[in-house]
Amino acid sequence: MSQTVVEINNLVKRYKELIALDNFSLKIEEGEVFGLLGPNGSGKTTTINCLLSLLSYDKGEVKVFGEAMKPDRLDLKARIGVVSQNVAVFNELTVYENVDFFCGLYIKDKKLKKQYVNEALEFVDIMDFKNFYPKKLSGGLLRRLNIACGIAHKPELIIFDEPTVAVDPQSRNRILEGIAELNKNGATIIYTSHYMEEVEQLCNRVLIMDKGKMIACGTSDELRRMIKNSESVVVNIKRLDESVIEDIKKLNHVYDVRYMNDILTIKCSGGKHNITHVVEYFAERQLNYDRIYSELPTLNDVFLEITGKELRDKE
Amino acid sequence: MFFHIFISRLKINIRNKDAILWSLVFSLALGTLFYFAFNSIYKNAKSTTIKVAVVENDATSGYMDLSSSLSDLKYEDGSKILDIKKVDYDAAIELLNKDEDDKDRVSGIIDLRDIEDVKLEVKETGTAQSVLASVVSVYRQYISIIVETIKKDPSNISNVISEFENEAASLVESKSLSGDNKDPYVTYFYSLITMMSVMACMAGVIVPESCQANQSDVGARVDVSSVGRMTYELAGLLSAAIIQVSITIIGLFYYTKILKVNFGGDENLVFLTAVLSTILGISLGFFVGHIGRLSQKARENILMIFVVAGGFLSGLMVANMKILVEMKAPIVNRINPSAVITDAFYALNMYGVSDRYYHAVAYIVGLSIIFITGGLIMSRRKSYASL
Repeated sequence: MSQTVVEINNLVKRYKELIALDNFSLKIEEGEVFGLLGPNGSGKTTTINCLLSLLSYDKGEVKVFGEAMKPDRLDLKARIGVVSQNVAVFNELTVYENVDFFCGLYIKDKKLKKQYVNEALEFVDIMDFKNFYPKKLSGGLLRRLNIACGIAHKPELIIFDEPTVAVDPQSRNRILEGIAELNKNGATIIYTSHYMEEVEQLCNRVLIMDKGKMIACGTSDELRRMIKNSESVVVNIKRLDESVIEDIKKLNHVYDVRYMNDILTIKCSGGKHNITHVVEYFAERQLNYDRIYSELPTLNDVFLEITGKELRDKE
Repeated sequence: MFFHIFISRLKINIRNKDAILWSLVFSLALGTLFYFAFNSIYKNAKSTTIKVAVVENDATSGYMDLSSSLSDLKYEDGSKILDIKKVDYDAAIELLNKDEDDKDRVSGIIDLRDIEDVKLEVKETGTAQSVLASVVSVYRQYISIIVETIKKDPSNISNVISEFENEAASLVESKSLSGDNKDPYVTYFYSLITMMSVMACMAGVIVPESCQANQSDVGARVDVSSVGRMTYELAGLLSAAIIQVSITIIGLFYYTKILKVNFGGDENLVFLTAVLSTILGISLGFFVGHIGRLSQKARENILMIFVVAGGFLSGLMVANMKILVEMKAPIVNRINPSAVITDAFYALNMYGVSDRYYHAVAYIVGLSIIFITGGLIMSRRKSYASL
């Protein structure tokens, strides 16, 4: 039977008039990769900071490994690793010294610490840069160093707070692969992000939050099933009569049709082979198109449908 | 754990070359400047007895035996600083206006006819006139303070006299003082050491920054670790102290061994006082590093204001200021680190190892303990209202 690693009940956090967390609750089981998904300012980082007892809160309860989390619970903190949004390393220490320093805050045995530090450097693949100072590292390498500092002591619970912000695709993939491997090795992961693709790829379970509240929680499939849209058929076509749009609206399972910038988007709810029906219609009307394809709903669609706004700020 | 943090913090501090470089440059460059600027002035002034006319009247001639105390001022080699001619005002003017070659010519007139308004009259500027101005300035202050204190708070008279002696000693040597002061320009070096020590607060203020989540990202990382904050901060404090104390000792070695500044009696005690003063400076920074939720820049600005204002009030910039503070708000002299440190150096310089010196050192140690304890109490592991 799996143990509950994190339990948050009815957490309320106010910044004067602003309610950052509004009766927020969640439960994370051992071995999960749990995604916290939400737009910027939705309360993800506040949740993490309350969970770590860095932030005080107005109401509610936070339990880690079944025990109440408090600022002085050093025993609980020893079992947690944090990879923060901002790179938190000392510029005066080399890569190796940084990892050694932070690992040494948890591990007293020198031999074990050395082993852990080397393993962490190998894990994030920055051993070749171990004598470099952080200022000499690229953004991606810095992120990897940041991760090494957070995981070197082999914590049971690892919190990744938007670890891939401003990271190149190659480093991003390496980071995501690494997180999956950490989970495979037994760590429970909390992963906060506003990149839905990452969360979908990585997480067993996802909690979508907005304005400090839980919007929805479940596996990606469960979340997708919560919304009306089950498939979108997209057609790249130039010049389209209004009558065509009206005809398509009448097809089975179609509930929304939009044509913009030579792209026709047909949203369907339920049903099978929706794309076939659209292809048949175009053939019947002898209409030529450049491309047609089908898309399954993303977590962004889930968020859009529930809140009426995009998950990610336009970048 | 403590040792691990201490070694890492030491590495961080040592590699922060800018901070070390500027501290050393401040110490060595200003010391060199003082050496060339003031050493030559005092050497020129030394052993040159200045002829001066003193004008008294019947009412003031016996008052506190002032003219006699002026004539008693002596250089270290025993020669007199002032060669006094007691004359009436007209005769004094005549002596002042004599030709440069005339052996009776005086460099100035000290007018003591109104004891509460001692006047100095000179005809030109020069080293002799500067020394006379210093003497008169101190005596003018001395008399007004004595008179005022007798009127308002006779019980504080001994403290005021003591502070006066401090100021007077920095300007002229007086046989009335029993210490083993060798050179008046040494006081400039004491002031420099005081400033260096208090400036060490900049090394203390960064200690809390790296373990408090509301001050830095690294602070947040340390804050969520399993290390006790007191352990972390004390290790950081010790490493900062080692660096700053080393800088102070290098500075002192430079003054004593290269510039050959003679600090008087027991040189080891000068070193000890400087080391304790540096620790006081770091402690001050450590304390300020824990106050409220301010940016690091704001904390450094507050400290800079505190250092400059403290230096001003302790008389490092304006002579006699410390006496005025002693009269108006003596508590300031007890809690102002600059004042406490200058007092210790003064006591050592003038009285050698004495109760007054021990008293001053006890203040330095006491204030350091208060600042460090205060900082540690404020830093108790806590959650923040915002980050």
